[in-house]
Amino acid sequence: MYDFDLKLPENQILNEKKKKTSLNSETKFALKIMIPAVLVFIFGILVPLVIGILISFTDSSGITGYFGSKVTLLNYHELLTYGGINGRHFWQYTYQTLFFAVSAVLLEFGLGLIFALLLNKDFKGRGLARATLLIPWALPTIASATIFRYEFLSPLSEYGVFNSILGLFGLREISFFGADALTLFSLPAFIPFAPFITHIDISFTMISCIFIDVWKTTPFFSLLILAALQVVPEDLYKAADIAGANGWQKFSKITWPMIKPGVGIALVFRMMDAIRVYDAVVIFRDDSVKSMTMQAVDFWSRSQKFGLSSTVAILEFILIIIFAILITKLTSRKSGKKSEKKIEKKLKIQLKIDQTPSEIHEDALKTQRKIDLKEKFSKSKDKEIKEIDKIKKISVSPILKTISPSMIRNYKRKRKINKVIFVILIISMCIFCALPFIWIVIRAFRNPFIAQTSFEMFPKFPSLEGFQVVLGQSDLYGVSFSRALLNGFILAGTTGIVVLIVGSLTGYALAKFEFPAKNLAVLTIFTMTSMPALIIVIPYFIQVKTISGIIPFLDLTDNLLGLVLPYTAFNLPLATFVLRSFFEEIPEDLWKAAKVDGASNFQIFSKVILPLAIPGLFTCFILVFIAAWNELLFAQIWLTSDENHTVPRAILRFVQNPLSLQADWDTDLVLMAATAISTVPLVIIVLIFQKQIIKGITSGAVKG
Amino acid sequence: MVSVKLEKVNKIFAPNVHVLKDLDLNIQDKEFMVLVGPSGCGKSTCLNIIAGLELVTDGKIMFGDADVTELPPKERNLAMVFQSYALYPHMDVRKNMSFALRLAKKDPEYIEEMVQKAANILDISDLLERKPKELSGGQRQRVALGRCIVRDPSVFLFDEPLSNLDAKLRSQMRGEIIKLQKRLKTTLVYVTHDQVEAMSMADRITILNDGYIQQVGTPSEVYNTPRNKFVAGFIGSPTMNFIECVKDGKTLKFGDNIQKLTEIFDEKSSKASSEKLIFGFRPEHTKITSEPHEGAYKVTINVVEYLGAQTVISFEFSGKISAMAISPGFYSANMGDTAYISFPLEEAHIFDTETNMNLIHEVPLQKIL
Ligand SMILES: Nc1ncnc2c1ncn2[C@@H]1O[C@H](COP(=O)(O)OP(=O)(O)OP(=O)(O)O)[C@@H](O)[C@H]1O
Ligand SMILES: [Mg+2]
Repeated sequence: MYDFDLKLPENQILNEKKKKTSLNSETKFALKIMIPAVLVFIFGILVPLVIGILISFTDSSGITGYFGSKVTLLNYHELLTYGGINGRHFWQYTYQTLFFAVSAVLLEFGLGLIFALLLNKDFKGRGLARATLLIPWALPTIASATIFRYEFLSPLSEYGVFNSILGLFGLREISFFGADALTLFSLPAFIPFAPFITHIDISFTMISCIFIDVWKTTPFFSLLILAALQVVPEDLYKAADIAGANGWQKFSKITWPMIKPGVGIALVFRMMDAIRVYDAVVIFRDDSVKSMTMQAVDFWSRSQKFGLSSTVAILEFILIIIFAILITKLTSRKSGKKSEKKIEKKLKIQLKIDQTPSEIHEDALKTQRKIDLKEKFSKSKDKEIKEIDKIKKISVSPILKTISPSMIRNYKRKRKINKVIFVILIISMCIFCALPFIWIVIRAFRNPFIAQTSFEMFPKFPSLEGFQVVLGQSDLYGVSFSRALLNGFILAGTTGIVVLIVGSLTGYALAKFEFPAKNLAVLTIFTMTSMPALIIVIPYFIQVKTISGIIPFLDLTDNLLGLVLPYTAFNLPLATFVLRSFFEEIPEDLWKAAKVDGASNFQIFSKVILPLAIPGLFTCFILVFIAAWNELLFAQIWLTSDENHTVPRAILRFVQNPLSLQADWDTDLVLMAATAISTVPLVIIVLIFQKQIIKGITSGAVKG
Repeated sequence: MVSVKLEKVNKIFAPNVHVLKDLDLNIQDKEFMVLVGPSGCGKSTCLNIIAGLELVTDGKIMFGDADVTELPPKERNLAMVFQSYALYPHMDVRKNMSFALRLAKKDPEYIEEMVQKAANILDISDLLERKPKELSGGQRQRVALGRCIVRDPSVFLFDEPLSNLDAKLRSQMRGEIIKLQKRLKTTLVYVTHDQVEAMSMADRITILNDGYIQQVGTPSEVYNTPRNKFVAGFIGSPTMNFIECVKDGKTLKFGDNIQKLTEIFDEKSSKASSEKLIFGFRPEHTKITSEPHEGAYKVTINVVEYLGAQTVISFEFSGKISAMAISPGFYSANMGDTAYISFPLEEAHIFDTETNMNLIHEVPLQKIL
């Protein structure tokens, strides 16, 4: 035993040495294929981030230039203290952002959990129900905000759906947003002597924004929770059923503790997103829902205070990190670490190689004692059994006595009621997700040249003229949707392809190779996701401007191609994780077989791995395409001229364009036609490939 | 503690997967009943129905005199062991074992006492603080058993509990489960697809195929007097040899060979629906020699597998009829060698070609007890 133990480490060292030398070429290959990702990271994230931090410490502005004229802490001072107008705004908007983020995420979490639990059951049409969840996700946030703002929540005078329904029941109209939106409560002033802007209260507009965000993101959230639910094997529920657990006990004692870490990750992602809120609130043009991101954008575009803008972005990032840490702490499995330590201890005991003979002797004694104890126990076994028998005699088997016909009737009734409730819940879920989209399509076919005089469930004057306006004339008003569609297609398509190339290389490196700093690479990719786009977009602008000052040819501002790099940087993490999980599923043996057949590392990748991962690549492309197609913030800052609008930008522009109000057609209806054109193709694609997309989303999230 | 009775149980999964068909089964109090059958025949479904995890489409389930057909699992007072063990990964062994008792809000001292006792019986007292992932397969198995014992249920239900263990551990646990059941005297329904497990553990075996019960009987009954060709082929390893033959007067003809029939065999086999019959004999009920002996057929040897205690020989005779034989100890032969084989008629069976029923032993589906 003693000798044998001593030999082990030597063997290990030898093995490791062998591994190191034989893996060398592979490590080189892995590092090589990581290069594109590293470049994307440096120029898409790192340099802009450094610039962002830099200018947050300068008086950078439209007057003093991008890099400002002096280094100063004034930006932070101005925002963090309550004195000036900017500081008070900052506190106010931070408060609003937090109010929005926390309430929205809590609601989404509750609702998403219910959706996920419903969808985790086996029932006819589950695929269809799951597919409807993808509809809100596929719509640009700006489009969904538009639907709600102009169709569902609008006042009775504009035939808003909710208010019309309220009217049917003879109820009073509700102002969901705008100047007369119901004031719900004043903000508590937590800096007593210098309150925030006192005339802003939390009003119904905020609730409307939260509702829009809940509608838009709950479905996606529930898919993530659904993925987390897959870690609980069916048998556990059966075992719990038999142990006598009711539905709530099954959830609280088994499901929740097991899904907590997975849900925690989903929560972190959602919280990051919610704090960065922009698209859902910008459309209301209302100070009571302004977010931190909006404030930063205003600093940038209205008052040209670049330093301040960057400072807001950085403070927002810090806030995000605080929340991420908080949520992770709250949802981590506390006992997980403990048991790991225990295992470590055990391992240590097993691996004791430098024991002295006396120690070995002691160990032997201990085991002897253990064996003795065991024997004692087994002798006492018969006694134990007798005692169990005794207990048995006392506890009379309950079932034999207590069954009455009424009890059975009760169970039957309960089962029926449960079934009915289940069906109702599923149907409401599907309606919740699909109805707004169906509504857009219905409304898009209403003739916009005939003024509406009453609420119409189905269009009274169906026609295609709305589409004609959108695709034809409307460029008279500064927005060309056909142009925007083309732009979106070019931008999203290019981004998709670039992300696929970079992401598949990176994903492959992470899936199949070991290389130095691999964990660091994963971590870096991960932090890319948590960065608010805002923190990058302005410095990126400055970066490109500065470079093009030297090489004019590279001036990509207000150019679609200029957005490909940051879009790639922001979509790379998801793509990498999704593709990695697809690559990991490819059996190791196949890879070995190709190796034996004499294929080089790159040949293996291009000839064996990639063809097999085509479903994964395709899914990934759709995910990235949709994300890029729907992005607003970057596009708004970057693409200033009309002919470079993307679809969400065009929708926003259309909504905000005062010229369109003078048109002889109904703006709302044309807007619906525009939204329909820009979303129907996406939704159709998403519904067709729903299975792969759900798999892609969930595998990426669970691994990430 | 209780007898279990299934009456005309049918289970149809939507849309029209008819899994259990008119199942009638009586499981005695304190009995060790093994459900065995090929994969997908409905064993787990049957167990789930007894547990209440699935509801019957039609039929009745009785525990003793109580009709439990509509009751949910928790009202049936039973315990179940799953193939995957279904241990809760986030609870330690103690919590796993006491889960049901804690749900029932039993007194903590009583819970601890029961857990300790069960742990002692199963030799896992020093594992109580561990999480399932820190246990070996065999230990997990014991914890799963322990979780059943502490409940003091009226029925144990085991669904292939040993199929994840290696061969050695499996035979050891087999012994322990038998002992446990005999000591606790709890009715046990045990599902397996392994006929060796069934034979070695059961008081009685129920053989299922395609949703129908094929036979219910003690191990020796199902081995010696299989009710039909399926049971005959399913029980015993290597499986029984089946040879198609034609009845010709008082003889059976297979190929060029003629087998004389005794009075009883002649009489019983004449009830067949046609002239064509299936003759069945077990490999272990054969005598094989290299020299001719009385009543022996000449055969050609195909494969010889020496297993230590015995040799399994597959051979061909009368043109393309292949079969197997077992010879005790070592039997030396090469492929293509000639040998002589005989099988005593008393231990052979004759099956009807159409109904597949055993004509020699007419056994009821289930003896009314
Ligand atoms: N929930 C269900 N819905 C539809 N069909 C099912 C369902 N559960 C089981 N089945 C079908 O019923 C049949 C019997 O399944 P069961 O699990 O009882 O088989 P089994 O005998 O336990 O098989 P195995 O030995 O492989 O575990 C199978 O064909 C299976 O496909
Ligand atoms: Mg089964």
